[in-house]
Amino acid sequence: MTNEAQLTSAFGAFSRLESALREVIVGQEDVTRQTLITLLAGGNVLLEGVPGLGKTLLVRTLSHALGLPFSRIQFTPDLMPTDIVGTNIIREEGGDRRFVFSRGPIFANIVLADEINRATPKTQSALLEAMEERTVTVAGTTYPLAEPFIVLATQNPIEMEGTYPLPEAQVDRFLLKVHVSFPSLPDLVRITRLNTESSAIAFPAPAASAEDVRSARSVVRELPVAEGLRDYVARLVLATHPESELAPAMVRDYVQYGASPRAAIAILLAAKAHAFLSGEVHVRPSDIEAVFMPATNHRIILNFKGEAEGASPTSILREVWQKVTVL
Amino acid sequence: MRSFSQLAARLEQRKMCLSALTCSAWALAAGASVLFLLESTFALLRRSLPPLVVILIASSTGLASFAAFLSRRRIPFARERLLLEVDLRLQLDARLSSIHEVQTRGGSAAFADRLFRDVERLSPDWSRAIPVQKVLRVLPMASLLLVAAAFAIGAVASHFASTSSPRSASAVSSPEEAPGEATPTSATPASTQPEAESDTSASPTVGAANAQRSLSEILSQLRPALASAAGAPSDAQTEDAAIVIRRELEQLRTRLEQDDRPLSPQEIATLHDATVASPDLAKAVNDAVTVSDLSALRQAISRILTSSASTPTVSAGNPPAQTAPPTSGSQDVAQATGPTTTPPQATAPNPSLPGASDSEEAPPGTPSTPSPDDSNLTPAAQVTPVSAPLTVGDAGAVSSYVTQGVPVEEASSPSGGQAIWVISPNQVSSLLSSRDLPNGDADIIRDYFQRITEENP
Repeated sequence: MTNEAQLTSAFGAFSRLESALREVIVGQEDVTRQTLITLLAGGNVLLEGVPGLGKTLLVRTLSHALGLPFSRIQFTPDLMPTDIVGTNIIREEGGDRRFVFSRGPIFANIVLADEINRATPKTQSALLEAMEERTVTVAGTTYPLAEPFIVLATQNPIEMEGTYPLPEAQVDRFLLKVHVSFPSLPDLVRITRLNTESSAIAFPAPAASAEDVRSARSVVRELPVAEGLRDYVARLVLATHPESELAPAMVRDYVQYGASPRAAIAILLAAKAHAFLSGEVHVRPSDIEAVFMPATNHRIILNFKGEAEGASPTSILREVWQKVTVL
Repeated sequence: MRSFSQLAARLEQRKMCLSALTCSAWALAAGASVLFLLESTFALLRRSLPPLVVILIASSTGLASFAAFLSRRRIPFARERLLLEVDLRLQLDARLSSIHEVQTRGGSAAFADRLFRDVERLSPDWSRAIPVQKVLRVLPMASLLLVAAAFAIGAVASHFASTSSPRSASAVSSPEEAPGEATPTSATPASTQPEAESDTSASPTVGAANAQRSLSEILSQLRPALASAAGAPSDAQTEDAAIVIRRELEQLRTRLEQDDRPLSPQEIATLHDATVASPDLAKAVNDAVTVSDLSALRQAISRILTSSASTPTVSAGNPPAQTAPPTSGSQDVAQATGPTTTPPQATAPNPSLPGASDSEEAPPGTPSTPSPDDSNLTPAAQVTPVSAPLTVGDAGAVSSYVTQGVPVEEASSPSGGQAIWVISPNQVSSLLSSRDLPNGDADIIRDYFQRITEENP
């Protein structure tokens, strides 16, 4: 049971962490906030954006700010699952030869899976299984992953040739899908100054520890959600299904499959984390609003008509949001 | 958290109270609506709602309202939903409902304490937490308005019923029940027209002013005046009616000369109505219509106009005398066009006069002689009997006479002397049925005969 001291400590730790990130990451407040939400909720985040928008920098900064190990996996078509999870190798020690498990890059606390859609589905599947199970099994031996663990996967929405788009079931495992937008003019000017005047980027000192993250996660899980808001979230998710009575016209016309129950869980967990990061101890309707789009937009599967007419999940979800009310 | 519990309880009590009041208001409105509908229905029927019914409705409405209040007051609300409503209304960001969630689900007291402190810090306007619904303001007003309207309608209806009751009584009573009443007006559809309209229509200038209007319209307007002239005749009214009839007949003749369209049923019916005040005209018109030949009809109308030109008045109580037309003196049915100055030998005793049945029986074809007590017998009421090969009822071979539209039959005289002629109810019925008259017109004619019979038994 969370007490006032734990609460104050957790608030302080994540307040410092967010400030540290914002010192390095120019602009992209939403991306930073949603990355922290994912970290607090214990999920993984899919960052979608063109190269050069600071996705890798975000991960590295987060790693430094938390003082946790970070690994980066560049996904390519010839990447093998063992390149991610590790493999057994023969090692000679004192005349003995034995298999020793060599851990792959997945055994870091913070993993950047860069351009995840360039790897084969088999390799993608290995990563996504590790993300979901938080364990890796090699040669019959199961190895737990580090805690806290977060995967930040990126994909380029433009360059689609030679890619293997993630199957819907795999995409569903990401708590949030965050669109990394191009920085604004003042932010772009500031980025150029930071990267051209000093010799290197000054990463922040650790502002929070792994223990702080675990404690904050515990607090976030305990945050109360009013029954009416739980009902609201459930209705929001149901309204993304074309066969539902709550579904608006666009959903009926353009959606083949709506959001899964994981979406409802993701919305509520992310809303709790958002409320926590806002210094609140309860979930508000505004918290749900803040996370509804990133938690749901990658879980909507359009039908042929929707694809043909260029309907976007964002516009569909906007209509869902307008139609479904709290009461 | 005691204060939060008290706050939630107070909010719940207020919500239940307002909801109960709303139910009660609905019950009141329903009762008021029932009262209004009943009053309106009774007003349409020109009756007033019995006071006992009003009392019953009022008391049952009061009871239902009270019962609705009590029953709704006992039904608790879902507190979490109520608190979320209050949260949204007071912009508390779901704090109250979250505190309730912590309390009911056993969450951390640290959260609840912090949330309640936030609520106190925000110090919302609790009077806006559960506002009085608009429906609760509207329903009592609407109920009051409905009740007021119901009583107003009831008062108007009772006033209307009291002022129009003699007329209504005459409208619903049969001629046998109210022989002295002007019943013919009540039997026609035009009796529902306003009296002012009929007064205006009775003016002799109307026919000229409305020369361009259709005959049906003019005659429809004239119908009440003509009928009233027949039912309650005064010399001026009767004279006016006769003038108007004449004008309308002239218009009809003109129309028939210019237009070969046959008379519409409405025109026929209206024509019958228009001539009801003058039985001789009615007879002639009937014959003309029966011929159903337009040229014959025009001729018949011309004959009517020619003969009526010499008739100064047309009165139901004092109809003009009949003479056989020059071209059809031997016809079974005499043409009803004769001046009032018909010689006595060309007349028959008025069959409807008192004592007519007691007079001596006269042979067919023999002019009748007035009985000694026929002091009020006028020449216009006398007829010239012409034998007809017609057998009606048990009386055996009789001569049928239709003079001034009055079907008579020969009655046996107790003294065995000169034959007397009385109105034949059977012939009246058969004549009316054979003419295929509209009901209203047939009633008028029947009533006319009835009145003659009653006034001259």
